[in-house]
Amino acid sequence: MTTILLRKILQFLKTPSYLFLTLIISMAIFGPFFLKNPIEISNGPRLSPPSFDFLFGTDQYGMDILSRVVNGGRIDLFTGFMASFIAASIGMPLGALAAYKKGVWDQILLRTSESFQAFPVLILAMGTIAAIGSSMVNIIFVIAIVNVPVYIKLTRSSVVPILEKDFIHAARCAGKSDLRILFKHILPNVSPVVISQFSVNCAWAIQILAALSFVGLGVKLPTPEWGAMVRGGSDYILYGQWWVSVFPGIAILLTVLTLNQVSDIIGEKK
Amino acid sequence: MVDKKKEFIELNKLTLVISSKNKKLFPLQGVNFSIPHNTKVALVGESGSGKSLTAASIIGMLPSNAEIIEGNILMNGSNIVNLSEKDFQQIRGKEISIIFQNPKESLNPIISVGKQIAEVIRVHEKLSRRESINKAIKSLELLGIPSPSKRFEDFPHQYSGGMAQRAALAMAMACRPALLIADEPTSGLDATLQQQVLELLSNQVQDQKSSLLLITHDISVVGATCDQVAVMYGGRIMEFGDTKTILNNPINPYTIKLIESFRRSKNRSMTSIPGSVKPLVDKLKCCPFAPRCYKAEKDCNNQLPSLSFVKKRYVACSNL
Amino acid sequence: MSGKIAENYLLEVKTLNKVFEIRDAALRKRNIKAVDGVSFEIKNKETFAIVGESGSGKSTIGRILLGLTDKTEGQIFFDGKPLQILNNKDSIPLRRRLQIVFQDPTSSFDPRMSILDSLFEFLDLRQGINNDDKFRLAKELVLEVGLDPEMVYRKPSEMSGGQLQRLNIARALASSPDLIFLDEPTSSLDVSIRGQIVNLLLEKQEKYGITFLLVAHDLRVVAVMADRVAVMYLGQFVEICDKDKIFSNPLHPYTRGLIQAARIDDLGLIKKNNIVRLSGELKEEDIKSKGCRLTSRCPFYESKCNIKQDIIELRPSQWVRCWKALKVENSISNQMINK
Repeated sequence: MTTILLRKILQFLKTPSYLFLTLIISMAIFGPFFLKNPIEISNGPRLSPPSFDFLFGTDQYGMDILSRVVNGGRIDLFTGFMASFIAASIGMPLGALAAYKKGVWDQILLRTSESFQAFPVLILAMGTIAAIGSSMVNIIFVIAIVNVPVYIKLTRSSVVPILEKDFIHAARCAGKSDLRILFKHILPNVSPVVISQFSVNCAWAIQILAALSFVGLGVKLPTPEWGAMVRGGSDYILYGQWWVSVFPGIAILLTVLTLNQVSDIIGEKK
Repeated sequence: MVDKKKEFIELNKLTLVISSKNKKLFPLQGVNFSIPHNTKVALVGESGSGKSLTAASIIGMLPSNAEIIEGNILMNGSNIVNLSEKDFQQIRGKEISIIFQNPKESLNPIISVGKQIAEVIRVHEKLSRRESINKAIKSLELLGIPSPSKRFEDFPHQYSGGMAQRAALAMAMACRPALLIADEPTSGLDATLQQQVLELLSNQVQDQKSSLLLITHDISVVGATCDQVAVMYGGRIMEFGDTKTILNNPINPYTIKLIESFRRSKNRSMTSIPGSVKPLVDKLKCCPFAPRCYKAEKDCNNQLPSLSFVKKRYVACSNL
Repeated sequence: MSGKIAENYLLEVKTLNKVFEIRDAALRKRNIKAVDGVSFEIKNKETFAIVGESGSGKSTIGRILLGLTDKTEGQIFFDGKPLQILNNKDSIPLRRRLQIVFQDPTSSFDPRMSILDSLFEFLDLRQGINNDDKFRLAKELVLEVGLDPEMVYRKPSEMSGGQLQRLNIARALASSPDLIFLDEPTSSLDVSIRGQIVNLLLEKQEKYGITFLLVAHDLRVVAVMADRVAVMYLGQFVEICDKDKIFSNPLHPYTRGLIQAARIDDLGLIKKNNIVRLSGELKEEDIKSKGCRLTSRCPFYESKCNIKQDIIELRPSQWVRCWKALKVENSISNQMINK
């Protein structure tokens, strides 16, 4: 049994993107146990370049950037996944409902989603956070809401062709209720597309968070978060102290790229 | 043997391999087959027989992951297997034309039908714009399309199914090709419409003294339309020769059973061939039909029969 | 089978109408009467076939029967009682008795479920059996249709079209139905293996005493399976008669044209006369015609054809929707004699 599982895991890790994603997630989960989050303003060297003691250098408060990047991973990844998850949980059933009910309800949901999408997402997020305050809960919630229309439309367009398939008619002929058909036949057949979207969405959520933090509406220092760290270090680039912004920036870049790549792979699989 | 000079197209031992991620398929396994000038030939086979790929190789439209690993295709004696895409573009439309099951596959949906036909004429016959338009209108008229000058302007979606097939045929025949390949031109049409389309094909080809290669799974369309018929199974030709000879007196067991399946049964059971077609994952070492053949004997599982001339037709069978 | 079957007819359909509302490319609403005044009866254990080309509306009739789409007008009686299948628990006893075999085997199974799970769904229709029973029955059903019971663990993508179609039949048999709607059960299969499915269906019909409503456009299948045949054109029945009559002595010009064009007796080797040939093709607009819908294609057309035609029993058990049918029969036999 365990050998089969092991073999499956090794097969899974053969794809570079999956491997990378696993590394990033592992780093975010386990990393902080090894590299404690520096929260006190230490007496250590401030703004010192990357060296053997401080692989990524230190920032203006003397805190080790490597530790901060590793700890920041938790926040960024958690936010990304949570926001996407909430968006999907709301968007998927609504999309399926729109496809199933057709007619007026379908039109209402579609037009609402489209109106929402007409707003520039970042501005909408920034405006809302500025209004209701930038607690973690608020941030996750806002990012989730602006992503719901994507799931509604995606689910809806994936469900419409499925409804015409004979196996749906077959389930009806077997006396199954509409609700059961939705959960047992429709949603499972839509999920590959949605999972692919989820991955992209996580990347997008992380970018929104980074952007929010960059303009000061996101996470506040000294909490480590990649976007905030980039902002914090932006003042020092001109003076040649590039490492404060660049390393968290690379972290964002790599995570986003990996998530996008994973999404492509899952998307092609069917 | 067949007088080689008389053949327009000749396939000799044509073998094809299709490679994908980790699988290889050999859909054509040493196909021997020929199309004379001014003759209507049917290539009959069910799904998985290789008939469409045979047609695709003749006109150079094989998928990118397909490779001809053995044999050749001779057109008027010269091998066309290794011709470049550019060379094939010279041939297509001019020497060899093709129409498909769905006429909308031959017609560009965003260009008017007449313009498409005129373009083919202009390119191959190097005529002026005005001349090629006139010729296009004439070809629509020839194919029984009413008000051809008006219909010249219409787009494919404004044509009904039958009309679109006529338009596709007009385009294919516009430059008087020596060979018209029709790939399942009547599948999906009801019987009455099939009758019309086949007659049209037959007449067009006859008038222009071209040859016809009719690809079909339906052996019953062959009798009224084609002079010769080739029956294909498992990537090989099973039987090949004069239509009436084969339909009235088939020899190869697959041909026999196939014909029987297409006839109306007068009792309470329908003829069928047991088993199913297996994908060709390797080069054949024995007759591909042997596992399902009612006449199969020991030899049938040990040797790959080649075509021999028996009773006025070519037949491949170890158990004659 | 189950309880009492009505003395005369298991299924009775009276003036069934179905109107579809569709939006065309310009978003205008159009009404298409896909089924127009269709009436027929099916006796217990009989096979009633409906023949027609795509666009004739034949599949719609079966779907209405099974509650997959609503009827616009008309009455349906199943086993003497009015039939209405709804999407709720109360309809389960009815669903048990009425089943369907779909046309396209590749889309009739959920690609993410194993065959076993798909069969379980239908076995659920039987009341009072537990999971062990279901398991055993599922394997028996697969064996019944000529396949290896171990196949139940596979997914649809691992099976061929022919195998899936057999499984479609297994699934239809799962609840021991009284009547099965066969929606073009062999159209997606190669002609040489259609017989496998047809013979299997006949075997099961004999064994379990099932009634079939068969929809097909392949006349070979109809020739072997049907007891009575209805020919359908653009939503209407144009001829209803015994199977043999359809082939030996059809009366409606459409039926004549169809049989002659079918090439199933002589494989097209014998040159046909052009007397009964239908010209042109099926056009949706002909549906709007007040009289006969075949007028644009019929070789026997006269102006009288533009009046509304009713379907009349011209000969015992042979119903024809053509005022000129007998006259045409006369003139054809005269032409044949003169040849």
